[in-house]
Formats: sequence, structure tokens, C-alpha cells
Amino acid sequence: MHYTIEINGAQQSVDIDGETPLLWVLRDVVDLKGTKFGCGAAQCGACTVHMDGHPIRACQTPIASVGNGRITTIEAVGESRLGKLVQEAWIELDVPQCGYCQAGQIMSATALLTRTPNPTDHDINEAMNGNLCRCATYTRIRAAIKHAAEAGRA
Amino acid sequence: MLARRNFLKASLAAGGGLLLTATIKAPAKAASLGKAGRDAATLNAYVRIAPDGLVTITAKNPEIGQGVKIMLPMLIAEELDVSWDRVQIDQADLDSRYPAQTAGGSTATPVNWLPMRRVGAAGRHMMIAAAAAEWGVPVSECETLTGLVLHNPSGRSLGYGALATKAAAQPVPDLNTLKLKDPKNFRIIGQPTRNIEVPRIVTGQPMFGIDVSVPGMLYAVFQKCDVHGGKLVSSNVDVIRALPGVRAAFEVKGGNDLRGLLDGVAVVADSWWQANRARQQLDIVWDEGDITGQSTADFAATASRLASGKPAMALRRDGDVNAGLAKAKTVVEAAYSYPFLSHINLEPQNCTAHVQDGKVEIWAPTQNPAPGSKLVSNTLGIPESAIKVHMVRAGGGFGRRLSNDYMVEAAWISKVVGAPVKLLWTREDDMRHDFYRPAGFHFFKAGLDGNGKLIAFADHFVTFSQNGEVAASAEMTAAEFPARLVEHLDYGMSMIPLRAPTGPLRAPRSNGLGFAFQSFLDELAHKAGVDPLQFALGLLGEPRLLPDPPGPRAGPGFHTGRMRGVIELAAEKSGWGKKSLPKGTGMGLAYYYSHLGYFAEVVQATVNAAGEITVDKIWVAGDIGSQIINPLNAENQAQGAALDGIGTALGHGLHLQGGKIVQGNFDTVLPLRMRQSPPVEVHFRVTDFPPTGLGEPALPPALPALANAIFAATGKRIRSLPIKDLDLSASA
Amino acid sequence: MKRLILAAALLAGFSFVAGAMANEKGEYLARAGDCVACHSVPGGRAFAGGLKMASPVGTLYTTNITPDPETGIGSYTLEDFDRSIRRGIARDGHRLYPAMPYPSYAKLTGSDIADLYDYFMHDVPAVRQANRANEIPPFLSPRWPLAVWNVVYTPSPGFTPDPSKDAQWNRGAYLVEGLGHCGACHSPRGTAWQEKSLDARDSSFLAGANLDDWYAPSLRANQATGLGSWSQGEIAEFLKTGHNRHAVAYGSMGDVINNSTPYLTDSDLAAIAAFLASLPATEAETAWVEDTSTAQALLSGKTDTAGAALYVSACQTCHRANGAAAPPYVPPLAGNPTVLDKDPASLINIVLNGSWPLVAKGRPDAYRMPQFREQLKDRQIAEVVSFIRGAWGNKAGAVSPQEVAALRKSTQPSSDNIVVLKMR
Ligand code: FES
Ligand code: FES
Repeated sequence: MHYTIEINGAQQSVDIDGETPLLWVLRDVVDLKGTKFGCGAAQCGACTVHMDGHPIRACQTPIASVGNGRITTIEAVGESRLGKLVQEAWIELDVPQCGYCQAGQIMSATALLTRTPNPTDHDINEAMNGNLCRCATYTRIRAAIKHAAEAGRA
Repeated sequence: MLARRNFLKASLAAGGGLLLTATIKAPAKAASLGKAGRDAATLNAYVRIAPDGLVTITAKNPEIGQGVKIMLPMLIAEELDVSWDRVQIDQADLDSRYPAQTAGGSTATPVNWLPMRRVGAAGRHMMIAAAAAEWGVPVSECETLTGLVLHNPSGRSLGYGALATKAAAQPVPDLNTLKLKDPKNFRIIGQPTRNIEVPRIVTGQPMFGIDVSVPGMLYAVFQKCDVHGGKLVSSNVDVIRALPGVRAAFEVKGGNDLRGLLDGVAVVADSWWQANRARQQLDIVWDEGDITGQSTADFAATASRLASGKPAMALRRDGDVNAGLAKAKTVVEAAYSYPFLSHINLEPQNCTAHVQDGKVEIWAPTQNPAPGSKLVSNTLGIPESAIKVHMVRAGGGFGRRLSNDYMVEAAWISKVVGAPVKLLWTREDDMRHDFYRPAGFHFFKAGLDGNGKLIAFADHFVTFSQNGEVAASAEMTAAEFPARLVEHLDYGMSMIPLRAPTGPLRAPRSNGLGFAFQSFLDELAHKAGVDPLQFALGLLGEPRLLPDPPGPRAGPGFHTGRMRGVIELAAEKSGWGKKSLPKGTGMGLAYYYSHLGYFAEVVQATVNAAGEITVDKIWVAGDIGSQIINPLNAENQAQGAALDGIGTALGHGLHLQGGKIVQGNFDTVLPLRMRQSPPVEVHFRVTDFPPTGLGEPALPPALPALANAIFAATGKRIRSLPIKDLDLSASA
Repeated sequence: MKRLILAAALLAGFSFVAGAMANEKGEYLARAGDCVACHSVPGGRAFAGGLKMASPVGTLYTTNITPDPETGIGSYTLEDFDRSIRRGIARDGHRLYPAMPYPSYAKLTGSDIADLYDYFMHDVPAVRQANRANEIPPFLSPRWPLAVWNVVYTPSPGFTPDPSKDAQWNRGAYLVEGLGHCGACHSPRGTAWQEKSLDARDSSFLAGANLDDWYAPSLRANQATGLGSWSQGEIAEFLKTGHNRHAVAYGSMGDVINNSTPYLTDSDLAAIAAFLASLPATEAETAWVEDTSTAQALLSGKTDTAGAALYVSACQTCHRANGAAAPPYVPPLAGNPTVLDKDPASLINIVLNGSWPLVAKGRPDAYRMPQFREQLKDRQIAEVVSFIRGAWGNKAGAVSPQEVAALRKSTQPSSDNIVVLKMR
């Protein structure tokens, strides 16, 4: 099947089985490898991208279901003010260890701050619970989200 | 002291400038850290100073999230006396010039601390010599300041860049006589230093093994028998070949070494998704071999049966434990156990390989490339000289990537299809084909005298064997705490034969032993009616060094004073015994020495009537010697290790059924999540001992500290893991 | 007499492939009857029996129906075979428990029985595997009451077409009421464990039932909880693939997808769809109408209930804020009959245990529901299920932690293992 979808502001045409997860279209077809594969079962969040600004798991998003949804990935999230602030907070606080989960973390965090500019610990827990960090950098992720929120207020 | 075989070579770098290459035999002492440590005893350094003053340091070790790529260059840059922002770091390939390219055992710091600094100091020395010659002044009148050589009497200065080419012609100093900086003058070491890779990580640049892409690359999956080492009998591989996108599907006859190439079916396709979808239609007949007794329930039953008899093997005997128990006022008996664990690196195992014209090129996220290259060589019959291994950043290691099974699979598949191939495992492959942290059973018996003093202690440890030998990472040593501190002590061991392969997982052995021993000691403290803190201090006694029992694993010994120090620090920071906690909330203390590091941790946890656990906070106190090289990373590693311990205790655990791992994904193995993740306060106690690593030693105390906190909160003793499988509700 | 002739004419029109060999026909019929699902165990030999089945009288084990003369049915004559399938009486005269859906199979025509017999005798490899004894408490053990049961509840053999309906409808009725034995799960059972009705004449037929910890939804035209909003094409698509834009198969319907309906011809699937679509609603339900306020609240981060918060963190990234998910791959929760059913057993069961891969004609589906029994407590599952049942215009009631706790005890988690029972 032929699909034209919007990824990071550009129209991309792909010829592919409609069941194919967006994750593999991103990684192996349009060569955006920032979105990661961790579980393929909606359990780790490494594949989190935005559809119309909201976090979805690309591994559980058949390409046929994307339609007119605007997809944003880690490669372009920094083009938004909040996305940029989140990335900067991650650098400032030296959040990552292995770094593998962090693209997904940043996508979830940016979406959280977009809808909840001043998140409480509880908000952070709920919004970030689907994103595993095997290196357990949670303390810094939490701090970096607050850091970015503060920068966003300035 | 360094051994004699040290070798530093200076030469002209391509394009001008100074190139320093050093081969250094590390002191034998560092070899006390298990296999990885022994390999790590040969070091290397590779420093280039360009005419523009830019310093390039090659990071030779695999980066798995532990921060070594920053840490080793920091040591060199410090003594070289350059500005950190003029340092650039390259990742080395596997290269015969770097003979110890491995990540494991928290060895990087103790092994590299002095040698790397000496390499930097040698470079600095040569810069000064070159400048002194240029100016015709004595070397003693010159000094350096972040990339400049200064001649204070004349006020002249020259940059390293300008001197680099001339420095290359200077004689090489003797590494062992070089004077190193006084730590109080450190400008880089001890400074919170950011990981230079983070800007690339947060923008999603391709940098992990899974991101590797080579022209003409195909994608592969490999289906093995879920009973480890099972043999392939037949398959419907011809049906698979006809499926969409499939380029090749073939049976692989492997060997018997569970760490090597095993029987299976490879499916290669134009995309990974197609390869994996086709693979899901595989219909394979396996010869699983003998799987009797290879189930979690069987293991538990066998362990209890073994425990009722004498241990098959004595590990240690002090005094007369039976006499001690007979004398005791209170005898406490308890059985503890912990499950098999998978490493669950977030990046599933993968490798890209290209076999062509008798040559192999490999891109692998590995912790241990050299044995991988050897394995590929032996399996494919290609000399190692024709194999090139690129080390690619790994999305987590935890010991899993010390084995290179995925590497040989990728190489084999590439050889058969004659094209570059990226092999990627699914999460289920990863969980079901791991080198598991072995489960273990401890049958404890201990005696307390009338004053609550521990006078007798026995452990019948039931562990696993493979091919008659104790399985990898399934052993216990005679130094296991509280050995050397109890008058009558008896450690014995029995083994259950195991099919599944085992191997090191972050803080190997200690991650299970720590839970069992530290939980039981807490149990004893409560039975003795003594506060666990006082019980611990009483057990440790006066500050002193207890030498290790002689043997291949003998290390520098156990220092009771250093352990007391961290216990007291953890108690102080957490307000141990000083807080009044609400009902349902409790604090637990545990301490453990591993990988040369001393750690004590206090966990505060709350358990509600429904049995739901909230970990409120963790206090970590560590003694890793005289210097924290990069405090920013040290805190991150210690927090991560403590939280890893909490997550492991709460939610990790595998079951075997008929020789197969039941769990496959993160809906049944539950790594820690944000909602469960408490604040972690990290405190270091700086002591006069050589600096050591901390990727691992902060982990073991976290599990028993949590279990002990749950006991304090509920009166329920956690004697098996994971905690998620236990009912802690008030009605239970 | 006239009636009989008409019946013969209708049945003649049913033959699935003109000129097919008897045993090919037999295999097709065995597919339609999904015999393999109950008469095999995963990893075991086809039709060798041994599957454990819970029943009100105790645990039953299905029997070996391969042509092995000693342990199977090798010594059965066609008459013996017919008696066991259409009357529930084994060759030695003992009465089968009605876990074997012989009250439905009674509808089979004699010629289909003969084709099935040919298939089982000649195409199924004989497997020597002794039957396992049933585990039935002694006081329930005498089988003679079954004779009475049979007299009361088993219709006399044969299918009587409804002359007021067309051939397609009658073919559908024959498949659904007969071989398909859909009522075994989807029809409510009475006090003696009998299906309350065995054909379209009764409004309880396929009206939905709770069996083995699943609620098999109504297949009648109920607007919200039945197939009222499904087109015939969508019904056929569901049977062919296990998926359509409304729902994805689960529970024992998974066995049906894995072994049975995808193998049926398009015309038989269309016939089944036509028949099901004709069953009138049992209740005047209003069709589901979307309420967009749930999605708006979720998207703006307003999660004022624990259930909504859980939905955001555990469900929303796949099933989406509007509950529409990504059909036909990932099923919607908004307006899904299973979500709207009065009986929440299936929804709770799926959240607790996840779903097994559906394997339509050997090809597993691409997406499956993970299990949450380990990640969420009874209270949390009750909260999130209650939220789902009341979101986006869904109007089903809240569920209690006790209901979850009971199902947690009585059910087992699914796994990703692909189970295909092979007929050859
Ligand atoms: S890869 Fe999509 S959630 Fe894990
Ligand atoms: S940084 Fe390694 S998984 Fe998060």
C-alpha cells in the first residue's frame, strides 16, 4: 500500500504493508534512527513520538492508522521552544547514562510540559511512567523536567 | 608500583604534532576482580596533540553508559594540563594496540587511575622539555598552565600546539619516576564533568549498535530453541522463503557451546519488520534434549531436599558451628532465595556484520570485543587478522554484552547470504536467550548469645552447576560477610544441574548474596532485640583490615573501619533512629562490600493495607577511596545502581518451565518505573585509599535495605524475590 | 412432503466446492466445526485429545478422535460415528458430556457426517494415545442422567431449512447452529447447563453468555452490545482475519480464528454474516454515540480520576485519547461491544491477562495486548476498566476490585507464544 504521511514537517511517501509499525518506517525507511526499539510491545516507551503533539508508541502504531496525523520525532522536537528547553535541560543536568531510552523520555517530557507547564511530581509520575530507563536515571529525568519547566516560565 | 613492561612511545602524528602511545601492564593487585579484571590488567593510551593545540584522546574501552569514555580522558587531560574544552574524544575500534578493551567489574578506575595520569604527565613533561630547548632555559624554570608552557623569569610562553611537533622528538621519560600532580591542584579530576555525548543523544543522532547502517545491508532475525542448546530437527524454511520481502531463510547447525553459534533458523529480509514477521510463521521441530528438573518449581523442591542433607562441598569452617549453636541462647533458622534474572539492556542485542572475500567487518555494541573476534574467527574459519570489530555505543551493558553470541550469529548469517546484515533480536529473544544471573537458595542457621551477640552462623548455599562445574557467577567465596567476624562459622555449598546458561550481571554474585545475607542479619538483629545499626557496628567491631583468605580471588581484604564509616554516614544522613515514622512506614539498613567499594544504604518505605509499596527515599553512602573523579557521573551511577537494586527486588524474576524462560517482555518482568522511583541522596566518604569504581558496588545493599524497610513497616520478612510476587496486604 | 423436497434442494446448493473429494470436504467440515481446538493440546498431535475442560460436573478431558483402533475411534463404523456426533453416545454406549456440542452437531446432514467420517478415518493420522480419565466427583459421576438430559435437550438429527429464507441464510444457519456450534459459547445456558436455545427461532439464541471467565458477546443485532452496528462485510472480515474496525477476537474466539473460520470460503462466511445479521436485537439499545469531552480532557492533562490517570499512563499511547486506537490492528475501546457489555468479564480478563496472538491461516497478527496482571493491582484494574466503560460515550457500569480479584484467581496470563494446532 502507498501512504503519504507527515514526518517532522515534511511529506514522506512510503510503499509498505499497512500493518507495518510507524517505528520501522521511521527507522528503516525514512532513516530517522533516533526513535528506538526496546520492547515492541508498548511497554518501554523507547519508541515514543508525537502525533499532533501527543505522545504515542510508534511500535504500536500501524502505518495505516497514521492518516493525516502530524508525526514529530526526536530529530525535530528541538524545533519547538519547549522541546529545545527539554533537550537543554537534559544536557545541563547530564541526565543520560547509556542514553538509549532518552529520546523517548524527551518526547514524553515535552508532551507533558506542553499540556502541563508546571508539572507536579504526580504529573511527572503519570506522564513518564510508560518510559522505562534501565539505567534508572529517573532522579535526573524528574529534575530535568522541572528545570525545563522553570526555563519555560522565564 | 608498575611492573617493568611499561612502554611509552612518542612519535610524530600524521599531519604534525605529537602522538603518544603507551602500553602499560597494570599492577597485579587489580587482577583480584574476577575474569574481566584480569583481562583489564593491560592498559593502553593513545594521545594526539595537534599543531592547533587540540588534544585528541582515544577512548579505548567500550561505552555502555558507565561514563568511561569521559573518565579515562579526564585522567590524562589532568596531568597533561590542558583545558578540558580543548579535548576531543575518539572511540577506538577493537585494535591489537589496545589489548584490554572490556567493560566489566567496575575495574576501569582502580586499574587506570595511576597509569593514565602518568601518560598525561609524560606528555606534559615532553612539552616542557621542548619549550626549554626552544628557549635555551633549564627545564626547572618552566611550568605549565592549561595548554601553555610558561617561563616565568622571562615572561615567555608557548602553546602546546606550537610545541607538539618538537615535543615528539624529545626523549620519552620513565613513566615510573614521573611526578604526578598533588590532588589539591586538580583542575579536571574532581570537577563535575558533563558527558560530551549528551547533545547527540538528546537530538537522536544515530550512535547505537541498532543504528548502524551500511550500504546494501539486509536485516536478519535468528530463531533459536527456547530450551537453551536444543537441536534443530526440521523446519518449514521453504515456506518462509516465499514470504514478502524475504531474501533468504536457512537452517543453521551450530555447536554445543552456549556462548557460541547455536542451532537455529535465520531469516533475512529487505526490512527487519518483514524478517521478523516471516519468522513468526516458522514451524520448527526441535530436539530439546533432557529437560527433567529444569523448572523453577523443580529447583525449589530440589534445593529443599538438598538442604535437608549435608552440603556437597565445604566453603569455610571456623570454630565449631554446632557447638556454637548449642551454646546459643537463641537459634534462628531461615531460608532465603532469589530468582534467575535477565540483564534486559534496553537496547536488544544486535550486531551488523559484513563477510566478504574472506574478510569480516563487524559493528557491535559489545562490552568485550576481543573474545567476540576470536569466536567469529573460530566459527567462520577466518583468521583474526582479517576481522575488524568496530565498538559501537551500547544501550546498556550490565554484563550481558560480555558474551558475543549475537556477534557470531550476525557474522555467520552475513557469510551465508553474502551481504552485509544487521541482526536484531526481539525483546523476547533477549529475555529468553540471556546468560542469566543464577538463582540461589540459602539455608541459614545462626546463634545469638544472651547479649544478642552473633556467635554462630551457618549457610548451606544451594546453587547451580553446569557440566559438573559451578555455573558462571553462581559461586560464593569463603570471604563472604560475616566470615572472619563470627567465632563459629560454616559455609557449605550444594549444586543443582542447570541447562540454561548463566553469567555476570551488574555486581555479579553480590547482587544475590547481598540480599540473602543482609536480610538475614537484619532478621538476627531484630531477634536479638538490638537496633540493626548497633548490631552492624557491634559485628564489625574495631576498625581493622581483615585479609582475604588466600586463593585466586584474594583481594586487598575487608576493612571494617571503612564499612563502619559508610554505615554511620548513611545512618546520619537518613536520620536513622531519630525520626518517628507513621504506621506502615519503616526504614531498613544494609551494607555490602563489593568491587572494592564500601556501600551502606538506608531505604524508607511505606506499605499500605492493600500491600502496595511506596519507596519513599534512599540514602546511599559510599567509600570508593580518595578521589571521586567525576562527581556528576558518580552521582548518576550511584543513583542508578541503587534504583536498579530497588527495581530488581521489586519486579525482576524469571521462571523456567521445561527448560524455557516463561517471561518475554516488560509486562512480566517489571523494571523500575518513574512512579516507583524515589529520590536518592548520595554521599561519599573520602578516605585515604586508592580510588575505585562504582558502577556496581552501590547496587547490592539496595535490595536488602528495601526488604528490611518493608519488615520495619509491616513486620513481614521478605525471604524471596521478587517482591511483586508476594502478598504484603494487611490481611495476608 | 413438499417441505422435504425444498430442504433437499437447499442443501444441494450448499456443497462448498463442486467436485471436491469426500475427504477434502470432510477436512473443510472439520475446520468449520473446529474439532481440533478441543481435541488437541498445544504441542500435541492433532485430534489426539487430552484438552482439559472445565464443566459444572468437574474437569473433563477431551478424547482421542484419531483413527487409532484402540485409543481412538479407529473401530467406529459410520453409524457409531454418527451416533457420537449427533446423539452424544459413544460406541460402547456411554453418554458423552455435553461439553461435546452434540446438541448443535445434531443439525448436521447425513452426507456431511459421512464426509467427516471419511476424513477422520482416512486422512487423520492415527495416534496411539490413551484418553485421560475425567475428574468428576463420585456423586456426579453416573452418566445415566445424561440420557434424560439428551432426551430433553438434544434435538433430533438433521437440519430443517426455513423455507421463508433464502439459500444463503439457510446455509448460514446450518453452519452457525450446526457445525460452527457458536451457541456453545454465545448462547446463555440454563440450569442444567443446556444452551437455552439451539436455533434462530428463540431470542436467547446467541444472545451472549458468560463461560469460562469470558463473556462471549451477543451476536444479535443489539445496537451497542451486539452486532447491530456491524455490516455483513465486517462480520465476514472478522471471521476471516480476527479483526475488523470494531473489534479484535479474544478468548476462545482466538481458537476459532486460529483453526476454523479463516479457512471457510468467502461464500460460507457471507452466509454466516447474512444469518447473524438477521437475528433481531433482544434489547432496544441506542447505538453508541461519541462523546468528545473524554478525549479533550485526556489530551489537556485533566485526569481527575485514578482510572483516567491510569489510562493515560498504561493505555493511551496505543488506544489513543479518543479510544479509537488503530483498527483493524489495535481495537478501539470507544463503542466496542465488549467494552459496552453489561458483563465486564472479557474486558477485565484481557486487561489482566493480555491476548494470545491470533493466527489466521498460519500468520500471526502484528499487534497484541500485553498483560497487566503483574503491573496493576485489582483496585487499579477496576479503576481503569471502570474508566474505559464510562469514557467517550461508553455507558457501561463500573466494576469492583472484587470482580477483578475473582478473575485474577480463576484465569491464566496469555503469552506471546504462537500456538497453531495443526490438522495434518
Ligand atoms: S518499543 Fe515501543 S514501547 Fe517499547
Ligand atoms: S539511560 Fe540507559 S536506559 Fe535510560
